[in-house]
Amino acid sequence: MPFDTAPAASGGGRNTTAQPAAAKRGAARARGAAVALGLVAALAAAVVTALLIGPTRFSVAEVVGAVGRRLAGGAAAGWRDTAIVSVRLPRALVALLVGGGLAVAGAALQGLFRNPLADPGVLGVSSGASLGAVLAISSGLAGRAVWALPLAAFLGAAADALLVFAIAARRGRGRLFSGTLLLVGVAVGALNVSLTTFVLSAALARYDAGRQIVYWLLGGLEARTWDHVWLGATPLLVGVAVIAAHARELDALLLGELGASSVGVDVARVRLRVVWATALVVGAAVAIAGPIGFVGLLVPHLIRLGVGPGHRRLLPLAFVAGGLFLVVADIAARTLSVREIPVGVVTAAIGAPTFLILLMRRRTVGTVS
Amino acid sequence: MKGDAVLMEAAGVGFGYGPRPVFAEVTFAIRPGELVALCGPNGAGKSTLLRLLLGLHAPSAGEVRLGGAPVAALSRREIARRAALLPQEAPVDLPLTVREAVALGRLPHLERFQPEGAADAEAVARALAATDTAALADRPVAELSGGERHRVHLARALAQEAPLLLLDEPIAGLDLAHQLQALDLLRATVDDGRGALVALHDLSLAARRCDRMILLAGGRVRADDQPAAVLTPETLARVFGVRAEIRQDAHGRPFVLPHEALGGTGETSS
Repeated sequence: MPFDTAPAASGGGRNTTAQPAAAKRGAARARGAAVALGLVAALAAAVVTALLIGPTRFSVAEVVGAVGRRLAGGAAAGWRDTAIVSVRLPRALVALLVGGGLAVAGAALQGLFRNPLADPGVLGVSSGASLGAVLAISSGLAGRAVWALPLAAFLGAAADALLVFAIAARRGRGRLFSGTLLLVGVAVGALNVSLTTFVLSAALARYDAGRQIVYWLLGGLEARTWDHVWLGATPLLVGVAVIAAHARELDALLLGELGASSVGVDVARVRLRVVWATALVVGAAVAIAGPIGFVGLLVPHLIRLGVGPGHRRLLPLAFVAGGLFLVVADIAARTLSVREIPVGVVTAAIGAPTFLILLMRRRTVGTVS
Repeated sequence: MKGDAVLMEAAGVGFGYGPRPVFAEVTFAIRPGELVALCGPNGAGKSTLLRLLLGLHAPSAGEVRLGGAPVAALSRREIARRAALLPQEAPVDLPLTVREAVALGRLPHLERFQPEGAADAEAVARALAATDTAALADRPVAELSGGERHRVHLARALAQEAPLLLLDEPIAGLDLAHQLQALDLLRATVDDGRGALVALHDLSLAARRCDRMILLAGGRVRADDQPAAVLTPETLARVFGVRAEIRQDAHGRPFVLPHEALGGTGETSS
């Protein structure tokens, strides 16, 4: 038995039971650290790039100066400062928050349902948020205050989550079963889409409202302000924190419900908390950025390829990588053509082919979260 | 946990899905050092009973006590520190490495943000060594053979270091050598002072390695005694609906030589 003999041979160090294994684990950890460092550096570079590039080009010194003056509480020194601090910075932060949040939400749902294709859309929450937003636009509320649309979207997400949970819990006699939850989510989502389409068709008579709705439904980050950042940041980060706090339980759920129960996980409670936290994240994300696809599906898979499925590494890295993905996608959306492309189009254009490539190399995607 | 304390006690336990009773008046106890086989025909409710003992179903009558405390009053974490369950069906595509999977057994001992410490690493190393899986520690569970995977899940239950082990058909699907190894491992674990209740289909193997056999059939405990006292041709005919001979091996331990099914499956659980 190596456990008994190795410590004596290596001078009594109890954790040096198997040198090769320890070295291997060290290598895995080093790889995780390297991936983390690389992603954080890339995210920082992407945010800076997002501030530099646009219709007006700024120098690094200008960007640093403008952000520094803002942080020091000083007033913006001219329109160039304003463009950096009040236009580009909030937009980049919204992209970072939304991308990170959607990736974490996707990772959590994939682990919770043991389904690699689970994505923040499956609970119907994002379509509920869309319905709320579209109602706010068509009723004219959205035009009155910048926070009216995100708030309506968020309320739509919350109402949707309540409805889905109430129906699922009623069917399961008080317990939430994964299968029921997904089916109810899909059905309610379809209902949301039909209502959204109805509102849209009614609004098409009015050119402006119809155009605004269509554009919003494509998912874009145009004209995002600090209001959007502040409105979305709190619920989104609270949801992400709740999910991250349940990383070990999500690991245990990989053992199946019975296995997780055996190691002391209250499966029903964890599922309820994580699903609510996910609804919070997705509701906030859609509220401030519109429906943006493929981030929640694609990013967790890519991170798993790098560091494995353990949620304590997966969740924080998915947040960084999701933020990076959306910041970069938004840079592309702003610069690839003279007219801005909706960022949702860019994420789908990058995400769908990438996901298909992963699917064809079956081994990597087939392993459930 | 005191060495002589009763690890688990079921007192007059009844359970049914809706109005249909599965079993009633189930009463028995498990003490440290005991390896107890839970036997009975298909559908007797063995898996259901194991879940009930772990507090995953609420009994319709009676009470289950783990380490002296009523299971209904314990949190899942407290239950997991007193009893570890090895479910019948473990996921085959577990995307973790062997070490990560076994380390999940330490969950009930860790606070939410507490990192794993030396004691946890030692418990995992012990469980890996005991199940002969240390060499597999850094391999993904999904790539292992059925027998290896099975030992990994057993290691997870051992790493939990609960005084009571509940195992649901732990040797189903293993070849003969691995069946014997698994039971010997349980025997050794129990001889170290734990207790175990093992649902088993192979009556002869159960008789060879277990201290007691509990026969669950027709919604009742039909027998709870030493294997030699439980295994009689009459009991096998009555409980399992088979005509069988009971013989003794060179050590005087009984084994079952089944001849034919008697038509019907013994007692029905109506």
